[in-house]
Amino acid sequence: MTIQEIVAVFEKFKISFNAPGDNLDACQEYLSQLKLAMLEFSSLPPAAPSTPTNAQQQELLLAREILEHGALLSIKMMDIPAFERYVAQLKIYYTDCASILPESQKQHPILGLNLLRLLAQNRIAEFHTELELIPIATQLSNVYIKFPAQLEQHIMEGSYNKVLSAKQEGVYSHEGMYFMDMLVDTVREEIAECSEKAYGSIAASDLQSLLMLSTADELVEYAENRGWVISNGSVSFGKQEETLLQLPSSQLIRETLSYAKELERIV
Amino acid sequence: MGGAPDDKMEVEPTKVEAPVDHVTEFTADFKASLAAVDRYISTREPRFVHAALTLVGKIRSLEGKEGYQGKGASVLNSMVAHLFPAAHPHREMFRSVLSPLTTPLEAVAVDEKEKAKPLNPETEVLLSLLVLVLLVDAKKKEEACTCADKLCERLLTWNRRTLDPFAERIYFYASWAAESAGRLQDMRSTLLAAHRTACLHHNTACQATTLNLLLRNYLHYKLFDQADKLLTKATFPEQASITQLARFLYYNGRIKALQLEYTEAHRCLQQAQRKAPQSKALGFRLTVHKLGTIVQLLLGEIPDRAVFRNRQSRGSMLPYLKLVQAVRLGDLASFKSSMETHADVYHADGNYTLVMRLRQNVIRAGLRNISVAYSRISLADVAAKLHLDNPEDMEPIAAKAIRDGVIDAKLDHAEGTLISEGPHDVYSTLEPQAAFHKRITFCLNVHNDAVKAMSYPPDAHKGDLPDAETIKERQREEQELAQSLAEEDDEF
Repeated sequence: MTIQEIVAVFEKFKISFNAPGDNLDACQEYLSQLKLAMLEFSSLPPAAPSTPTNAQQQELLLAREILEHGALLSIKMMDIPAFERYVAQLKIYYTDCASILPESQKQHPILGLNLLRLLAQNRIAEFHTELELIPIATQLSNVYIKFPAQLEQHIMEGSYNKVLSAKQEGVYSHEGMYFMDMLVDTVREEIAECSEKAYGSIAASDLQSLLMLSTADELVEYAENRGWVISNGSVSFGKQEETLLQLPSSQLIRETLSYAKELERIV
Repeated sequence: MGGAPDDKMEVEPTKVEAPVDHVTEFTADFKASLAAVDRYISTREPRFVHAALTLVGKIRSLEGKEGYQGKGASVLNSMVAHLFPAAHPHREMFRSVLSPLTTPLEAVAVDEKEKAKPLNPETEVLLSLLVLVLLVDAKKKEEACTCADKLCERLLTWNRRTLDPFAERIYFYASWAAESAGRLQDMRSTLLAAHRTACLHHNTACQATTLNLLLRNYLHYKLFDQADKLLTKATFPEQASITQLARFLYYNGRIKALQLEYTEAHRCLQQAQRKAPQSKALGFRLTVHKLGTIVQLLLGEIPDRAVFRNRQSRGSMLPYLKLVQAVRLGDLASFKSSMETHADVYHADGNYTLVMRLRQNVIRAGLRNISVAYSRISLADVAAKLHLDNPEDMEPIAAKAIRDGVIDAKLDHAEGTLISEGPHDVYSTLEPQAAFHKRITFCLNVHNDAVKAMSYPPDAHKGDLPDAETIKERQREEQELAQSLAEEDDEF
């Protein structure tokens, strides 16, 4: 395929990608054609030239755009491992090729989505590693990056209400929703754990709003999964069994014998 | 180094003028170092190489002295001229980069005998190193980089173990040159190759240095992911010098701090503080202390006061002292104000993102103080005391603090109160026993290690067996001793 043909295929892909309704299969069909075509590009990383010619730059830009669309498509298809792969590929274009390519419009939305994904999967250490790669000025000014960064702070602090309200604000139109749903699930688990420790018992309706569940039935189901008891409109959490303090005699004997042995060696 | 020339002046006040004195002395040092290199090659004793490498410090201090700029370069230039054979690929390059740095100087006496000797690689590398150091110090970035590239290439053409200590320095200064020219990225593959070679040759000095340089390289571009992967694959050699170990621990600590492994980060940074030179390297120590302070705060500990009071470090640690005070008191307002006033400092130190994480610790410290003071308090009051922006967040924050074991309390949702529980009696648990066990094993280990580490004179067991006379003598002494001991016992 010549580059013109590839561009033509990519245009077709974009039409079906942006069209309303779910023609995901068609998109995927085009995308796999495009990815095969990309194999023939000669100037892609790691062999990216330091001073590209016009044709090479066109190749690089096209490849970057294809990968960006691939990442967005994989979110639509809820294929998280694929999204992870696309982001890993794109990061090379965003960092190593930054000097030879103009900045992409989609760079920060995609990086932001990636941050959101890490947050939703509760991979906080990786989240911070990724965040560190983004200059601080951008972190504070760019709305796509600022949003996950603030969410992380709220989660760390414990202000879970803000996470829920952030979901409704919705900086990320529909792409981010999938991750936000995942995030709410993660946060719900956190709240449930905290509640178990913090409350003796609590009114069922209050707990329902705390856990951001919409109906009482959902609460009942959730409570069953975690082994909580609902009675008379209040939830009591499974009491942690009072472990009776027992003298760990065999361990004590072992330790004392080892002292004796060591002391004998000294004397 | 500084004192010696003055002593000499007093001894020989009439012979030479002061300005010439430093130069002649440096020339003498230069020749002594070259001799040390020769002796190192023949004996392989590391102390000669250390003696030779002090020349790097000497040439820098000479260049730094007032009225001596260019003198060191001149000496070096003439040395290069007469030691390097005319056909040597680097001779002209060195001379051309050195000549702008030099100042006119009386001709250095050249020993004709030396000239006949062929140039050995060690001497060549030492001289090249000096050229590189001067270029880096003179901020000739472009020349330094090209020179460094050529040197790294040339290093690969030899395979001599005696070259290792010199090669290590070359890599260090090459990386420094690249960093000041903003081209650190280009160094990466050279360093990776050098590290690989060093590992295969069991060249510990180069291995440690290149590993540190790589870590620094990655951290410079904030590539924590790559740095962490490198750490999992590479091992830091045990025999490496202590300064490299201190650097390694610092880089390690920074990576771990970023990945929220604060305990491990704290351990690394604490060791880095201990291994760092105690009187010199103020910059390094300050950087480690700054990061260490934040990590300790994130762990919920309050750092030692000594660093903040030390006269040398007081000024630069002040922004961090403010943080410590805010966290200790749980005062969110003063935390915010110090975040705003000192934001530039935290940015410059690369600690801003870590400082941002401290906000929750400030809240928790405040919460802990309140929970100790009140047995029962309404959540609205707690929020007011903590100056929280949104009081409705108080309940989940408190719940999380309880879950994480920061405070020992219960929440009453219906009444909206925080009920503190009395402190546990730690002696009703097995905690003290475990603590004692830990200490006892520690002491026993110390004893055992001491026994193992005892050294004996190498040939002690080969000596003559004691003859009958001495044995009798000793037995008699022992008996007397036993008797006197027994008498002492009787007295009680």
